[in-house]
Amino acid sequence: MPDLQIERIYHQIETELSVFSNQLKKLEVPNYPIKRCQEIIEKLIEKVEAYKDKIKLILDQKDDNPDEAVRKLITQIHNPLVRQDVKFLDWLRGAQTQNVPWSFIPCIEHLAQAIIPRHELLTYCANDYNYGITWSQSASSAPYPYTVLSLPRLHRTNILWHTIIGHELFHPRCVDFIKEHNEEALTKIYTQCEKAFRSKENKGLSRKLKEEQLDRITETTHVAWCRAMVELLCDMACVELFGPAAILATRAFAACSPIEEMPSPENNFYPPRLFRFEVVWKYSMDKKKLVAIYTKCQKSEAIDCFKQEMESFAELVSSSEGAALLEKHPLAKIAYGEVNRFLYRANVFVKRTLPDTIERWHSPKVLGQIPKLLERLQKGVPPNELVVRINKSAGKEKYETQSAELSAILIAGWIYETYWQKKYDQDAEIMPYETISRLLLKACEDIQFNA
Amino acid sequence: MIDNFMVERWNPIDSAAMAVSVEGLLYRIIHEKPHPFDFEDALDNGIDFLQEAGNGGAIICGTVESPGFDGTLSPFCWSTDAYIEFAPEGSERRSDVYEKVVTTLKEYRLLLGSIREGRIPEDTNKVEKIHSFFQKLADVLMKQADPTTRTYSHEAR
Repeated sequence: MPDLQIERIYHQIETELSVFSNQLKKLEVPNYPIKRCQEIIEKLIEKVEAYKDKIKLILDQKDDNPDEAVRKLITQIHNPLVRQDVKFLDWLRGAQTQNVPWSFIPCIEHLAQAIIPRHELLTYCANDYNYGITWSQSASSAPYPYTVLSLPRLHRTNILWHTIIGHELFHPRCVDFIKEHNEEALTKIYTQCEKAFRSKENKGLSRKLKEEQLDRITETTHVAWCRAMVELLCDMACVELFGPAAILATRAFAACSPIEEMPSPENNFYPPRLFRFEVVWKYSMDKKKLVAIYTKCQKSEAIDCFKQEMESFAELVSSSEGAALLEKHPLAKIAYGEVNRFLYRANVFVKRTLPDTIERWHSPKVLGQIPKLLERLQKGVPPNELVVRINKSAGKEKYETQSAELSAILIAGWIYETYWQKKYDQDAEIMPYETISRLLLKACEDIQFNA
Repeated sequence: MIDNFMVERWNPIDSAAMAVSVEGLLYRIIHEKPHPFDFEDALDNGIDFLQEAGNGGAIICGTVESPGFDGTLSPFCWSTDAYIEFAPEGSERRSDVYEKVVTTLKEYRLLLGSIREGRIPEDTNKVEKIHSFFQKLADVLMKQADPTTRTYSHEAR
């Protein structure tokens, strides 16, 4: 490789580093809801300096082997910078206070510290109509050492939907389950694929082709198993934390999506929504505790609407059409046969893995809070606390209060949402959706502030 | 909830950088040039990579010595691609090829280990062979790590 090529690449990288550095300096100016964002910027600026030092070392040795120098400049500086580090520019822009549901960020942080304590979270709003989480095992690939949680930008303040973070934050924990059961599942899948493949008419194929085809089929089926297990584990975790709020949030988020879409490479082998609903309803939802919500709350139209909504969900999943759908395709049948075999263990794993420090929706404390928080919300008051006792002394009233639990706030919010959906068009007096969101966001901010 | 993913320890970007470093280091040994600045890191990463690839291969061949492999098969797949590039084409059974790759990877790992301990093999043929392997591996991985082929211009539908 001629020296000219090294010079060209070096000058290009120098420009890239300089522009990246300037962008980072601009990102230092705005406000962020957590200190970590500023730390990230500082670390990236340090990384730019480290890149510069490395370039010097590479160029010092370029005369020994110019080809090596070129390849090192590309693989050790250019590629990591343009493919990895640059991602932080978008993440940081989307993580600025004005671009995220800032009053909910402390709650997300609190939940993340409990579920994935070793992960340092960066929450941002992305253009994608989706929730997502990314983390890295590599020491040099983004977002290492951080974990990036993304929320849909157009639903920034839609806190009721953000119940789904319970699903997202569990993703990194699924690795342990998959590691534990991967070999067992893969062996079974291979055996069943081989059996199914042999029974087919494929006599014309050479041995090598047959082997290759079987490999591909096994791999695809295994990916489908793996993807289904991870999504179902996360769904179970979200329901274990937030109960009916998790179900209603997932259903609302997926309202515009097909619920019977079969897993395929086009949809990254995601399990059909309908099947996911069936699984969480069967394995994770404590129906007795759901009835306890109906009975503990005072009879009201809101509770009737909520009950109706939950009953309609129960009806949707009662015929197990999602599971039946998966039986129709031979490979899906193999993958989901294995999924079904692991569901009980998955539920045990989720319950065991979620820390006790998070108050779950079915705890007596949360169930006791929901009716009172709903009353506050109906009155247009943030559902942030409960008055436990009023002490009267020296002619003054002193309120003794209990801070609300996140799951209780979200469930109360969702109960009210079901009522709002029914009433909004008919009753102009009812508060707009934005106001419900603001009251709930305020409540979430308060509980973390008090904590 | 699409787009949830974990960046693996051995992803194409990190692995390409590792392969280039090891390739450069071996070139310097063959041509009696001074050690590169990243001599130790390159060897450590190269050995780790070969270990992971070998473990993955053992899973495929069904010859796992100790259970509990928690890595990925990517290093083994990339290594197999690189191996096939310079190994003679034959009508061998696929499982035989995999076994050969696993044996070769172990051999290379031991060789890198002895270099790390300061024992450079007298037979430069061995070093040349492993150099060619890492060169091919670097080529395979640099294609995968190339940012210009990650996206493409197309009509929005």
